[in-house]
Amino acid sequence: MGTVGRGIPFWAGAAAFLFVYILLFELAERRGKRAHARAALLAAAVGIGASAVITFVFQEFFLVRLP
Amino acid sequence: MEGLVSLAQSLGSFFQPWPILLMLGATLIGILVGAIPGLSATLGIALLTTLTIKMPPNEAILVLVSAYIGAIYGGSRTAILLNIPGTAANAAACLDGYALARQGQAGRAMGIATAGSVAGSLFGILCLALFTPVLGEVALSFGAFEFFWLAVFGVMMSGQVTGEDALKGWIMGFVGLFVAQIGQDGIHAHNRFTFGIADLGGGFSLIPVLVGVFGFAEILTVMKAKASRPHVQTVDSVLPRIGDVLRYWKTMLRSGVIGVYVGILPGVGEDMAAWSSYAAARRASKEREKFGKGSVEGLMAAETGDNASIPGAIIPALALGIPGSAPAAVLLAAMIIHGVRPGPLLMVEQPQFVYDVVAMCLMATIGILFFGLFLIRPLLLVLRIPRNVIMPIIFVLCVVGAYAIAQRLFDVWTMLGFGIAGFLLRQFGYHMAPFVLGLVLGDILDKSLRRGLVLSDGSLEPFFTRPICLVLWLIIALSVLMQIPPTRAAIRSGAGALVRAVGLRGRKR
Repeated sequence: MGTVGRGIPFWAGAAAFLFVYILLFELAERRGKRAHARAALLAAAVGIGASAVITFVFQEFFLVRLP
Repeated sequence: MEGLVSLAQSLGSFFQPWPILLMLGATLIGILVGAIPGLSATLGIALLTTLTIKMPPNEAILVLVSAYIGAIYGGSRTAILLNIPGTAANAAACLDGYALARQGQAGRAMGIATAGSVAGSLFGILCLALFTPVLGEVALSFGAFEFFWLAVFGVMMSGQVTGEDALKGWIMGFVGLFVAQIGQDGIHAHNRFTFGIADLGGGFSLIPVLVGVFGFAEILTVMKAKASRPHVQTVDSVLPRIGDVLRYWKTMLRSGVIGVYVGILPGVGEDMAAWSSYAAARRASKEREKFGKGSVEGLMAAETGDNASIPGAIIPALALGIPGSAPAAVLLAAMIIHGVRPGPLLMVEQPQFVYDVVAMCLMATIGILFFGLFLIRPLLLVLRIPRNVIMPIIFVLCVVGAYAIAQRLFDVWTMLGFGIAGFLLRQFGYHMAPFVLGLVLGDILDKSLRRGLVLSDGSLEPFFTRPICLVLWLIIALSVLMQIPPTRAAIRSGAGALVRAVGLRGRKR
């Protein structure tokens, strides 16, 4: 949240937030190096994918000027 | 006859390819939102309000109404399959729905839920079409004095019925009324409680506050709870059995009536309608011992009641501008954003809109029937998405949703602040529905009180002596007195003595 409105584009802030959030909670629930690597992959995929879709939908379809 | 013609016109305008597509999409989103534990109908409608802001009014309201009906219906899937109510309205469905699922009848339970939801919705829609114009006519005779008491009545009723402690409900209702006073007043535009903060001049916007207390607070609540991977029961045929429907038609009718009645009561939501219908069905049932152990009748009652209360909650929202539930409050706010003015003048200024809403509800009911019968299995996949993935995405949507309305960061901070406050208050048993109702009714209460005082030249007398005012404040006073143990006992013994005396006199005659 602290990044929003301070120069970092919304999509990057959202992707970073999603990545860190999912990674932290998934790491706490998974054991083993492989599981951790899978958690990092999942976090990165969801982070980039979700932030891209949300940014695109709000900016292009709903004409919201995101920070 | 005139009403039927208007309804036919509305149906004609909505049964077109584009509105049908919109309805199907919104109903599906609603079902998904309802099915995912932690996401409520109120949050779904609040977020969709932000997404539909640029759409034409009728299309936007169609999306919101469809999502509302879809969400309350969708919550029953989770209740039946996971024993977790998807929305608060489906808690009653857990008791018998999950018991049926454990007996290997999950599909049958979902069929019953679909039949009950559709029947309840249809009954509610009938009442919506019949009673809204009538209530609108009656409300035309209401003045500022009556609206003042209606607003107080709404907050008191919502506070009393929501949660276990009426005092906590009333506190939340009055906090909502207070928060609504922040910003420029609606008559003379004086700044109130703004403390020199320019952003507070317009007060707290309703949608960011709602997204905070129903979205962010819910995310915090879900993440605080212990994690569990859901085990989804196997599903048999989901087609409703005609025998189940015919056998329990009386239960469905009774639950429909209760649902609509509870829905009309200001701020008393779908959850109360489901529980009241369930309790009434249990009292009247010949199979009382089956309740809680997989009773078809119990599940039917709960699902009919909660879905019937949706059109019920829309009735006072349209006719009086006073919402019957928290999701109806968001719907009301969305209508205002889109230039509709719900209230007594709606039947005068935009009578067609009432029938448009009836047509929207009817379309959404067809939508839940369609998805309930044909798209159950793909929908169950959503329940397998881990909360660690879905909750942060919802949080990002909450942030964007709060921002999208006015495109200012202040609304995002509002959402976060109210979300944290809502989360903390919920930990202590303070519910958010009375708060939301207070927030919505604060403006009506303030303006009505001041207009009334101007009309009466500063005298409070008309507030207490006009017939409708008299009835309303007596009910409010009685409901407060009934919460105080000594006066409650006195009122009950007094009422008992009165009943006995009347009975004795009747027998002597």
